[in-house]
Amino acid sequence: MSTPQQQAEIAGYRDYLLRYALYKLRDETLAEDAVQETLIAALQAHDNFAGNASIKTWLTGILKHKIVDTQRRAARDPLLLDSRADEESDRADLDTLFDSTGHWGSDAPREWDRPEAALENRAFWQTYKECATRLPKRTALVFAMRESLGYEIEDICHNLDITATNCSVLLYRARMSLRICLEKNWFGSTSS
Amino acid sequence: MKCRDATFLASQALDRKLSLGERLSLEAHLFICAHCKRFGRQIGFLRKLGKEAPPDQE
Repeated sequence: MSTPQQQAEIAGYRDYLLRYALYKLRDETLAEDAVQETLIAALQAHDNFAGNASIKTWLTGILKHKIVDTQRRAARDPLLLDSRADEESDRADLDTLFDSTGHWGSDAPREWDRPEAALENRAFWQTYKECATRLPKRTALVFAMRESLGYEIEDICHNLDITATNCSVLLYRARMSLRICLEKNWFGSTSS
Repeated sequence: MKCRDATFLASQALDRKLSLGERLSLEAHLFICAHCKRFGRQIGFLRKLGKEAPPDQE
């Protein structure tokens, strides 16, 4: 159990946790759910807080688990399991990026001007975020699990109940879409 | 190998160990195809973005 003082301290991190969850999940409702569950778990388990980590680190640790739970539940959501889920894991539409011989068409990658410098630019991160928001839901989820949370393919397949091939296609789709979006909206306009 | 397949393999190379055959044909293609080579570099950069993206960003 926790004292009122501890409760207030934990609640003080709500905004931070929400930003974190929103960033990882890219869905307001899901993020709210994950944070809610984190706060409840933290209040119930405050005795387990060892005190040698900062309370922020401890809460973030709990939140990370809740984010995974939320993703797992969201993946089983019937709204996500509609026909579009199948379309997302079929790469036929991506073939339009290539000509009839399988070589690059008009969307061939161009040289990006100093991508490392973009990392320091707030406006770039905003563009990245907008590009990521445009991804189909399941594609975004798989990409976040792989590239933000560092999951192995097997774990993603297992958690979302999809085949390894589907998973590879979703990641391919995410990378291809983000690549094109960043090139159009950032690197295309800054490079000469 | 065609660009369509090379890019898919390059993407998979970030997620699993390619077989020797896959690796060789991918490398052979990247050697002659500047576009796909760029694609490979760029998706490597996307990985960096996923890892480094600041959660505090508004």
